[in-house]
Amino acid sequence: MKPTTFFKNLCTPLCVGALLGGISATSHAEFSISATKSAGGTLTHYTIDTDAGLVFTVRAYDNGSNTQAAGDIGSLKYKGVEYSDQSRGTQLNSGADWLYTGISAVGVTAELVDADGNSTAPAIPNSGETATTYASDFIKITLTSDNLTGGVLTHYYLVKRGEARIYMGTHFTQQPNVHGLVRFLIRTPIGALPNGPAIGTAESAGAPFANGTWSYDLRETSGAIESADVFGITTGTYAGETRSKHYSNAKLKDWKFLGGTNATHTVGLWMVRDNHEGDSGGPFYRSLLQQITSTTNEITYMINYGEAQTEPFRVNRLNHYMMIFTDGSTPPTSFDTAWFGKMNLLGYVPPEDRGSVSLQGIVGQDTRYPYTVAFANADAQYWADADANGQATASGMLPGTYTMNIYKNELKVASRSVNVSPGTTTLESLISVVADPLGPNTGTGTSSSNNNAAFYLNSGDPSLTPALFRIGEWDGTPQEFVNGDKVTRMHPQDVRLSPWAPGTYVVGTSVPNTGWPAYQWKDPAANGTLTIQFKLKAAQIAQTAKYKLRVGITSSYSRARPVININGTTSGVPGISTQPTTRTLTVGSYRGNNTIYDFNIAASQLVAGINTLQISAASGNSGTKFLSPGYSFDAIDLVKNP
Amino acid sequence: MKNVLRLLLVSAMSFFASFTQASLIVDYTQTTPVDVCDQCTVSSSINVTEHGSIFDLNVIVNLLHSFNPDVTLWLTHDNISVLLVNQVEPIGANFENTRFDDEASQSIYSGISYAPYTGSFRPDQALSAFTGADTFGIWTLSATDNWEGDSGVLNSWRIQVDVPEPSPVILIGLGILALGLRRNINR
Repeated sequence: MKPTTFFKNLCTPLCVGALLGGISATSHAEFSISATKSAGGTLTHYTIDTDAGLVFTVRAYDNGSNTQAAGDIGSLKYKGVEYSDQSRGTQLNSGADWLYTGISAVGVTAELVDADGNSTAPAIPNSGETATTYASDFIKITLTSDNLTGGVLTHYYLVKRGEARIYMGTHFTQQPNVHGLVRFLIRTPIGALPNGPAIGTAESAGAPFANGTWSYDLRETSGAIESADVFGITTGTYAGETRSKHYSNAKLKDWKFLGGTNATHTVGLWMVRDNHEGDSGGPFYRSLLQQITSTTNEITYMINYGEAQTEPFRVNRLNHYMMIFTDGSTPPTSFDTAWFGKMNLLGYVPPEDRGSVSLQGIVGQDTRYPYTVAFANADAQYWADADANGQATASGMLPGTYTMNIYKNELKVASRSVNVSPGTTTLESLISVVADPLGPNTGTGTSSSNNNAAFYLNSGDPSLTPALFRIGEWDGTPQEFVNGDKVTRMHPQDVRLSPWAPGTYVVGTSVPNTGWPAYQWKDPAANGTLTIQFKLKAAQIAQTAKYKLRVGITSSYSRARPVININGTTSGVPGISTQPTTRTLTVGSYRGNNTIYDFNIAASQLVAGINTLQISAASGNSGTKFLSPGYSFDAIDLVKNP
Repeated sequence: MKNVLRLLLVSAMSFFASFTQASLIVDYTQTTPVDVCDQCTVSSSINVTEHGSIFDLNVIVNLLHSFNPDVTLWLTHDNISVLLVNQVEPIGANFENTRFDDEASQSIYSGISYAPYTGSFRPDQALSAFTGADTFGIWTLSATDNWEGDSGVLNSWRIQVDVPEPSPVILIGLGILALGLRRNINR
């Protein structure tokens, strides 16, 4: 390590060079950390020079601003251009001083770490001065925020010599309770980073539409249409369209990075995600990721998020991710973390202490769908894509017992418990997908009591049971229905969508993508009651047989659930399934808990000839139009109950 | 004695010819439409003029009908009848390019099989009932509309039969046998 050198705080580099006789201004281009104190003796910030064109500062004190905090990246310069919004900065949540209720103190420390993992502290200057320490291999900044009840959040900024990257790690023993989320937010001045990913950027979140517009670009919007986070465009080429940060979402398993480029596409700023083992919601979870406004391009790395969430938060995990500057090209989709083992990071588990699971195959795959093998316990989550034979291997798993779920598209169709041991690959034998049992509902007749309407969670594949009719496919998504291919990227009122009430669905004539809506709401102003007509012959109605109508949903908002009317007789109201407690349908997510509602139908309720079935959304809650109670469809079918 | 040996040689070659890698496809299509009236049975025939021992057989049907659960289809040849489909439950219309194939991955009755059943499906009864039969002669597809209220048209149907092709070995053997017989005659 080179000798530390002291500089007057107000001197320019040339002035310093002149004063000290020959110390080159280019010494600032070397891998270093500079600590700066105010005239009053407060350590105000650390400046890190990566020796790769990236120079950034971390605020080391509370400056009294209610939008800035100790631990923020106050300045983020790449090749001399500022990429951090100076009014608010780039920060953890809304500042590390606002993570836990009542807590505002943030500890900020800096270290230099050599190739062997030896750590030293940088030089601390006198008041009004800056001290620069040159590093050999790594620089580490640590933030801590202690909760009143003993929880601690620890956040790391890690830099490797010669890389224009900031590796980050976030570990917390208790979930921050101010905002119900943990995120790292890069706020970039719009002039520096006016673009999101380009058309066709593979494995990126926030891909644009075919016309090049981004669903989260608010620059042409004229005001909020829902809450303060969904906006509409009233004039110009895109009049009637909607935009929101929520519509930047993508299935977690489908994206590896997010970010954008400068005006000339010669600089890219990206966040590359890790395996998200410490997140919640599984491989199909969707959350907001990016927002472009007239002032900033906000890249939001969600470590966890409560909106549309189906699982409890996980704690005590080292969530790591990477900010990277490129020449405008897309970043690598993964990054080496083996050197983390030298950095003394809380929660770090080296590769040799992790295990793998190799599934030998899935029997009964439907070749029309992709299959995902997912693993989850209270501590971590993982997943792997199954090949055509159902073989899949998930590696880098923390030891423990997991529930292994087999997903046909986004519908769980088989499940098993598996154990993971460190340094070992667990071989799992074939798992079979079988027909889902026809629910526990044993009620009969048309009683207005609830015993002929119930809900349950499937354990097998409902599509393997032959049906008298089926609308849609049992795959855990509404994507085959009207608007189903668009609902994750725009508001239900968007002008690009088809009408939500497409008319009576005639079995044998109508088709799902034009005849049945992806979502149904209680308010008739949205769509209200939906009608199905189906024809039966006398021979199909066995008077001794019982029938079940199954209505599958993928998510529900505001306690909505279906009720049916079959040829004039109304069912009871089934119970309320467990679903996310936040908005979902209007913020780009149909991903809740897949649930099947089933209704027993007596043969006497059916007629030879045309039968009319009506489905309505019931809830004790109210709301207007698209904020009325509603749900997202998976499939609907009528089966015989032997 | 020599004739007996030759006969044994030909028989052996015929036996091994059944394991030949090469095969012929006997492919016949009937395109004359036949109305399938309400609550009646109609039939359509194909006359195959080639001989061959059936190794594998598939049937492709194009039947327009407004209510699939009404329909029963049988294939008959040489006093063998195979039930292809009988009153499928799912409500729907038509069998469009429906291929009945014993090797298909799903049954015509499986939960994921739906109108218009375009694709390959295992029939109700296996078409392997025809294995070993001679392709020559009349093939008949019968369509029954079982219930009142709907009708249709059998637009076309087609049979595709795998028939083993004689192997080069057996051809050479037959050739040698023929030469041998000729030499005897010439003597």
